[in-house]
Amino acid sequence: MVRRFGARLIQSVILLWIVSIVGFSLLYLTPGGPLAMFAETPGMTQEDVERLERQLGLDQPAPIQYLRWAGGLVVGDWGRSYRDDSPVLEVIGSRIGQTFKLMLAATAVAMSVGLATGILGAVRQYGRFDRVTTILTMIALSIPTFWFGLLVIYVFSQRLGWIPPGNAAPVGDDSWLSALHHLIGPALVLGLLSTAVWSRYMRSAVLETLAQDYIRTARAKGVLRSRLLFHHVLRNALLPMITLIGLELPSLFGGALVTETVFTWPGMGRLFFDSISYRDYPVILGMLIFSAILVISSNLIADTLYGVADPRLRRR
Amino acid sequence: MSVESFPAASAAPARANTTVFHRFLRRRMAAVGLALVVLLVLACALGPFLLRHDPLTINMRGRFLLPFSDGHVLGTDEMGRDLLARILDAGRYSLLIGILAMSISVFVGGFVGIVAGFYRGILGHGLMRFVDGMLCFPSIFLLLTLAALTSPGVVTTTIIIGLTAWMSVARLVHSSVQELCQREFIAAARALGLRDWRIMIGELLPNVAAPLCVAATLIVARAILLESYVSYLGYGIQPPVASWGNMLQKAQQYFNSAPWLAILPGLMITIAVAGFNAIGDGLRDALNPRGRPG
Amino acid sequence: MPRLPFQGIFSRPFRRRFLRAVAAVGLLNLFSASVFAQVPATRVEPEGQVVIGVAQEPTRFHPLQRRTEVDDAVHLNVFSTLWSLSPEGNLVPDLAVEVPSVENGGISADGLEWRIKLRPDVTWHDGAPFTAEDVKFTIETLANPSYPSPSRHGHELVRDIEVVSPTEVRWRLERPFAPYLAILAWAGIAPQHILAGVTDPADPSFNNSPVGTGPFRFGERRPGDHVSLVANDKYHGQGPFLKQAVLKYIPDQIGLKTQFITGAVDAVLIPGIAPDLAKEVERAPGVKVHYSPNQFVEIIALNTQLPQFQDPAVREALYLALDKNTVFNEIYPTGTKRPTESFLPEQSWAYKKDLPEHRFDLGAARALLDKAGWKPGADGIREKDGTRLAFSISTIAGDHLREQFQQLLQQDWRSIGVDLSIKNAPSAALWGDFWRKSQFDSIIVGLIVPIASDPDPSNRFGSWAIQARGGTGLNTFQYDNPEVDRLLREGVGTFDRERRKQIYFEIQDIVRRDLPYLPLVQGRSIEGTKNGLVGYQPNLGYRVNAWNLRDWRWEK
Repeated sequence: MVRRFGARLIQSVILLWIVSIVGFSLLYLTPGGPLAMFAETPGMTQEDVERLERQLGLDQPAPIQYLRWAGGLVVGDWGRSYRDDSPVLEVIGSRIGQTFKLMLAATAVAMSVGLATGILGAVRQYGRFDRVTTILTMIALSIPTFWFGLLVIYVFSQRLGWIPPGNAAPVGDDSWLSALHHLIGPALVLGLLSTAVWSRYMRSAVLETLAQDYIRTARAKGVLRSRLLFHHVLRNALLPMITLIGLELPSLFGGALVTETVFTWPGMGRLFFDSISYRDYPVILGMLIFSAILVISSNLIADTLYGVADPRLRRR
Repeated sequence: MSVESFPAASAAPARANTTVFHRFLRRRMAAVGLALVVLLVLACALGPFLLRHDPLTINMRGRFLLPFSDGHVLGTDEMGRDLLARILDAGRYSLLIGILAMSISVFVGGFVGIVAGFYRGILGHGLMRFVDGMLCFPSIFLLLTLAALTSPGVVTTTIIIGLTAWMSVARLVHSSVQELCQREFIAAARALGLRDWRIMIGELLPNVAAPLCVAATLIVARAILLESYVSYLGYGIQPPVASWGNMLQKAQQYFNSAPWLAILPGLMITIAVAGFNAIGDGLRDALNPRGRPG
Repeated sequence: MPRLPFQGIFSRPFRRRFLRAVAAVGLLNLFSASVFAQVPATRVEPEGQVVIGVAQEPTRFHPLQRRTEVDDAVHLNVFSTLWSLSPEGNLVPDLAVEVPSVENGGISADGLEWRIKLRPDVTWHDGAPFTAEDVKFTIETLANPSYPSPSRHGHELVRDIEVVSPTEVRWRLERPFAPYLAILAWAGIAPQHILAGVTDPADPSFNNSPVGTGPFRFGERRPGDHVSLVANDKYHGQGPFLKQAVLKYIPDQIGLKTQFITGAVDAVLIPGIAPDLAKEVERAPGVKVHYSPNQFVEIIALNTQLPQFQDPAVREALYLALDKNTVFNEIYPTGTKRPTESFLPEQSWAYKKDLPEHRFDLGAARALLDKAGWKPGADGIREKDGTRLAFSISTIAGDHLREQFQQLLQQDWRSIGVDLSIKNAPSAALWGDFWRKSQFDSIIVGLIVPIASDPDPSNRFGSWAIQARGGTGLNTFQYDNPEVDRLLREGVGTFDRERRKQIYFEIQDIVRRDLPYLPLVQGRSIEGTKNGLVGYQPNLGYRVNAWNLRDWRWEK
């Protein structure tokens, strides 16, 4: 078990190294730069722009820039944002809370709705409820998130006035009620896709368990249906769901980017978008590395948890 | 949604004597999906020839016409262009980009997967670690970074989507190939002295074709969706070329005064993506003899 | 010409505002006399807050480092300058007791020795007194080539800064440089007692909690959301009347408009309301829409070194085939932009009114091209000596009105046999080498040609300003006309306003004839304020109309 974990850990570090090279090369090869936006600033001459480029170290050759940056990465210095000079980790830290809040809310929606519909659908396979949810999940998996977001804003905000059209909170209002009110729209939109995924997973997991011999035996022995469902089926079907949280994380994170843009949510998504248009290389790189770490570690944790939870794996 | 995101395991009995196509059509969702996609492709391919409006002709005096006015079935857009003609024309690009990006992914992913599965050593290992590395980035991050930093357009968008979607194919093919390499017929082919590339193309490729087909269909759906994201965020297809994604981006400016401009392209994306997803699901179940119930 | 002592001060491109200010010396004296009277006997207790929506995020507040226009909205209210610019274009003393001039003895007759008297009653937001040391520190740092200052322009000429007393500072200019007065009106004075000890210029701590002498103290910044400014109750001037001013970041113009209409923000500034939405906003109850002219002139820049564009007939035909009417009636609704033929804003003293007016005539355009030997090929696209009349047009991707304009152009120009393709890119890619080194075919841009309001366009039309040929400057058209070069040199070499005016008139005529670019419009910022909010006043001297938040307040 420990050896398995250790091996995975080493693999992860190598992965991160690859990720850092890929990310850096991506940015280095692109035209333009963080100072391009000052080209038309009155009073700023060409000499000024070139001097600033030198001072930011942007005139150095690529390998040197990489080594400098990657070296800092190892010791926890991720560089400074070109936008406000703050350390990259601090910049990410100032936004990550809003994004996690959104992801958490979306996951809560997805788990409760998704698991419930999945179980109900499986119990009455091919019933009316099952058919409707199957179609709905297919639509949910196919609908573009931003379009759904626009529709939600149009209907529930502009036409009905039930929810605010965007933002995490109005200026100066820090009450949790207002925060919750602002959270509803984006959480629903971000949660939709995951709801469909959870529902489909749960449905097939329950179906699979129901088809196991021991369930059939229990049924034959006359164990109550509800007791059967909760005691035997769910316990087994929920196990693989642990890994799902890890597997869903990257897509949830990516979905948050789009949702945040639609709902003007001040989280990582907006930061990423702003950084891209400003060519804030240190922050873009930092976020790429950060998301990679998030994905790698969530896979690692999911793997480990699954190993702990499933005795069959432990014996291997 | 990634290619391997659905568990395909079940104990339903195999129906050995039905053909794949038969099994496919028996699933209602899949059949409906196929019908939708065929309809959509036909409409986008032939529609522009049948309509009397050109998707690019601008008429600044006839902007924002309501549906069914002045001979415009769906009305006109912010430049007075016929919306129906534009949606169908945009569909050509969106579908084409979806299919071409899929081809790139399948080609690159298939190549890397087969090579890495066949040559187990440093090459195979290195390739798969690279795949793992690329998979660490949430695809929309990778896509947007690439798109924002290169000059946007049809070709770059297609290539970029193709290059961000091949990794899951590579993984899928890699694991199938590894399994196949254990089998006797590969050993036999090696014993016969066949060249490596002949084994890879002649023996391995046909045997991974089935899962590759499933993956390909699902990637088309995904690519259409990704194109719409990138174009919506302004880094994808640029005017005057229309795609469903950039039509949506332009339309949101007028969401209050002319909501149909934004609603229709979104609907088209959803239909197309759902169609391909349904086909992919159906194919997987049909090709997998054990078949997933439901 | 004999060199008169007084003229030394005019030996360089110069700001019309200063000229006007100098002309009104009496007025300046009046200002300096009334400066202390500005502080009202009884200070009005600040109350209420205003939320200003902006579509770019203010992130940089360090007065000695680079900033974008939205950062200026914070900068101009947290920091003070020695003197500032009034909407009428006058210099108004702020930290200085008076604006130095030759008349009041602040500037020596040869324009080299400057002596500035400072107010004794100013304190920094942290309570420390403001002194001449701060001024010395600010100018020295800005001029320091190893410090990342945004521009050393002007400051690099300053020598021997000497603190005479806490309220007086002196320096010598290496050579007379009149625009320096105007440049100082943009230079916020930084606190020496805090920053002198900071060795790393990239240390973000001051940027994140700047300390100034302005009417507002820096409150807090919530990254990605807002920046708040709090009333400085020890402000040395009049105001502020608001307890708090918030710059709320709303990342897109549509969201900005929605939040303004629904009342979530009280004012919309940078970049204002999209022209095609202005009417919708005007109809909303309780708000006012302002159409404030800015210095931007929008043009289609042509890369004149392209073989197609080397033929003047082509450039003229393209201009004839430009349907300005439809553009300004349909794409930009009436009143949101003003057609122009010049590169100068109409407020400039050198602006020439009676330039030949543009007309839209497809027939004439075709005839012109026929005559010049551009014959339609098999596909209808004209060509001459193997060169097809095909080129691309670029602009910032996502600027939806410019994109509409491009598509209209594509259709119109196609009808005279020109194949126009659209090649847009995000701004960070556009304004790099693509623009500066003339790698484009044609590009729609909004330019500010005057530098610090002086009309001299050497930077844009001088043949020495072509970066693609190793020059320094922004002659991205690669426009090369010896006659214009001669006039430009003459224009900066003379101090006679009337003579300069004639020269710039002549340049406008030549450029209008040569068409290194196709002139379109002078821009307007369409900004909005809620009814009851007073104090908003456009000021061409600054990049942002939030320059005077100290005057903003709610009507009772």
